Amino acid sequence: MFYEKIEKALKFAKKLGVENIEIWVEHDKINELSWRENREIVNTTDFTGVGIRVIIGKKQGKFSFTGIGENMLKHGIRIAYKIAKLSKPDHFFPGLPEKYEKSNVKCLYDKKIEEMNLEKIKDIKNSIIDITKMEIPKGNIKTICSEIFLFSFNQEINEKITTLSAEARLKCGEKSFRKTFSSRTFEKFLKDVETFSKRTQLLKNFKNPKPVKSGKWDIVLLPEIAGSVFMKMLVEQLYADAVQKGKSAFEETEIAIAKENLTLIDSGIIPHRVGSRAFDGDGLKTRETILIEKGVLKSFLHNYYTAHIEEVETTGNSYRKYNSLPEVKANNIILKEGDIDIEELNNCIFVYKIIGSKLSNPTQGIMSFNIAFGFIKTDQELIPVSGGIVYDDFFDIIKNRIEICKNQEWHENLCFPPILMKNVNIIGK
Amino acid sequence: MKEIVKEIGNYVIKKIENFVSYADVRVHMFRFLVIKTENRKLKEIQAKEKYSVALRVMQNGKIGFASITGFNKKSLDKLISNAFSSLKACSTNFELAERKPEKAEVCSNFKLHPCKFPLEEKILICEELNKISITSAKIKVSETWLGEMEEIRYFTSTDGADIITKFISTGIKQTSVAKENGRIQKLSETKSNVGGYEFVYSENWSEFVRKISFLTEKMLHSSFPPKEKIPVILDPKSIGLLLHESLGHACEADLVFSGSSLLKNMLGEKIASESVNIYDSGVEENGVFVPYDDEGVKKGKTEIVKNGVLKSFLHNRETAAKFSTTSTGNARAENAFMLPLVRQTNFFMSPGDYKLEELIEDTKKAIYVSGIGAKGGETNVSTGYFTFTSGVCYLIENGEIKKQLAQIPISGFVTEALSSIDAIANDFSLHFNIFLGCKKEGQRVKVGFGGPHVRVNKVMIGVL
Repeated sequence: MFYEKIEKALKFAKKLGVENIEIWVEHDKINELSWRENREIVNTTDFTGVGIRVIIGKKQGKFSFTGIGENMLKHGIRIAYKIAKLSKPDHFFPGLPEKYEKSNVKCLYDKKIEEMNLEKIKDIKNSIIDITKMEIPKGNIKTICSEIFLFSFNQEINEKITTLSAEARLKCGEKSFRKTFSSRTFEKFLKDVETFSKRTQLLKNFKNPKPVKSGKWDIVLLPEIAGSVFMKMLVEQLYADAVQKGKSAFEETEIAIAKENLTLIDSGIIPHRVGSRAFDGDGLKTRETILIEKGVLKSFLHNYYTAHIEEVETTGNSYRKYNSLPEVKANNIILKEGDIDIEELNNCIFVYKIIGSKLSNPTQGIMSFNIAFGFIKTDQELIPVSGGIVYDDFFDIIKNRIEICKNQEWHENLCFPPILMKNVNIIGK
Repeated sequence: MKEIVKEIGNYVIKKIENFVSYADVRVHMFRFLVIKTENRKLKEIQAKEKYSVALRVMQNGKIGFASITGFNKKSLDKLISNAFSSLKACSTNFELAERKPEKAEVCSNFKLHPCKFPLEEKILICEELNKISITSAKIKVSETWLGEMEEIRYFTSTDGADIITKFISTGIKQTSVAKENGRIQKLSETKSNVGGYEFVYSENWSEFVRKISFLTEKMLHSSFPPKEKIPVILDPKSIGLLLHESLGHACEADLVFSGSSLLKNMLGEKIASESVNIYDSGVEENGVFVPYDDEGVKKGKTEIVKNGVLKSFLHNRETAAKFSTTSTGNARAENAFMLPLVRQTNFFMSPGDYKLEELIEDTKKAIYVSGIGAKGGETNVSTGYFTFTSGVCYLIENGEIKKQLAQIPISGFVTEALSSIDAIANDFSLHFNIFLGCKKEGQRVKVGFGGPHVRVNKVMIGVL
């Protein structure tokens, strides 16, 4: 029935006179358990989203909608066609890829997740509580089974992937903080919870925090914080569309931008991980790309469009949803670990949770966030701290004041070790 | 359209009414068009339509919830079956506060419906504004966006509620990136409007886009404020942002009940200066249009702070039952795929009695914080610690606005900041953003925020 509808839609588009068409269909079955204190609510969603892109020469028109009725498909094609006709030609537009391709990535689909019923999802909640030994007053767990189809006039590609994700507000002493776990498979999901749990047990003692005093501090960003700060301050500036538009601080590769201890990789082909998939938003295979090697910027991240402009091969970083055009986005980001043992670090602030990192100005290199949870570690004691704006020059930090620690950890699509930033400017109470 | 949504609602309700103690159906239809021009060229036209149906069933105190994208009978039957599966898996007893089942059909004001304004003309307007926004060679990237949104929400329930609301809004967004000698500055600002394409003629949009580029260029040379503790004068957009982030979220009763909000034991206590009055209201000029919430409750004007004293939290039917009160009409969901959460509508401070000129003249040294280009903030509701990045700032010295300053992060503790307000102007404006919304638990809803100019003495300012 589904294929019939698509076939009819493609025929309709041909009749209308479009040169080529792309129909992106996402079908998600979502089971969700959310809870707050003792209140639990279960929710089942059956979602279909369709994105239509009509091509006329160097012009394209796009329309998206939910549901997949035959009339709606025709309506969508008509609107996309009208938009394409009204659009201006984009001379850089390479058209649609000639051949869709998949990479061979393992463990993107887990039958256990697809078949997990609502009762079993409740068991996962209990497993997280058992492993972390923390109270979780609020959270949600979702199983998502997604089928993605991409059609054009002469080809099609599809894949089925699963995601198990949890968002938990973990209670630590007097306070609580939000943590997300996410994996394509059940097995890795629980392992990630275990890894996180081992490192965060001391948060249970988070009581009577004091605001950080203004001044210069050495700070240790724990893996998920390091990952989120690097994404915001660095990785998003390596997206080729940002570079091409002049929205990035970087213009060219093969320049030293960081200390030699820094090597950063993007990969869409790591088994189990939520940043992995067999094909990207252009229908092209995912792969691994070295972004920074020993401090030297080696590559930007490309999709089919940006790669065409620079006459290079795409890095398989096209990302789209049914309701957006393909854009450049990271798959999984991995920072190679260093050799510093964080246990040996003293007289610095260990940062466990930040807020406000989106307030940074990455193109200017201004890193800004607030410490929501942290500990000042001295050789004698751990002092809980909360409050204080970290405000410093990120580019100077990665060039001169950064050390990379041992032991990477996965947090969603980011694999980072803890990072030591030295002599960082903090505005406190 | 009205007939279609009613048919869907009636079909579902009729099929289940004999098997539940209560059920409600929400139908959501959403149409969104964005035209984006970049560096003198039409870059992209995004047209989206979203249709969703949600069913909430209640039996013996248990609740089941399901949602679906299809509108045909097969999809609706699946929706019913999924909702009953959820009901079966539910182990919690729920109670909903009583409310009057309303019947209504309301639409926000508009003169020229977006569909009656030709797409070709919309593109022309956007292209023309984009050309105007490139004020000099220093503007390396200029993006001008034109957006329109039409939303229909239908709510019906087994106890007789039957409400259709329609919200039409339009807006312009300008993003300018200036570059000189390796320095880059970016500024983004949006003006949104409740109504149709009459908005094109209601304001000087050329001046608006030119101003954003001009300010971006000036930011290339702006310095940081002095490293000293000085007050800030927040403009209506900035105080609105601060209130929304720091107080509005802390007033959401789901967070209060779970103990996550610092306001949990503070009802009736003084949390701000005596001259501070704060409200949450569903229908206000230039604000988002929420006459009824997603539980069919009429959203009036809720008094949050009166003369500095905390008077009320924001409730849906569930939290209202827990607090033995009535719902304030704040159950809102982004669309029918999502469960309604306790959300703000238009959250604002009411004006005071200072004239703006007097307020500035009365200030020896302060930072004037405008909301132009301000980025959204974040707050820790359990501590009341908030942070947001200002828009364009200026130094005030001896009662005069002087040089432009760089954008700065502003942080503080909400009750401390609100208690340090010593002057409130008699002006007022309200804002919302058609292109973005406030995010909570993965859902984005449009919110209005604003107030008058105010002087705040206790906040932290980030400087290098």
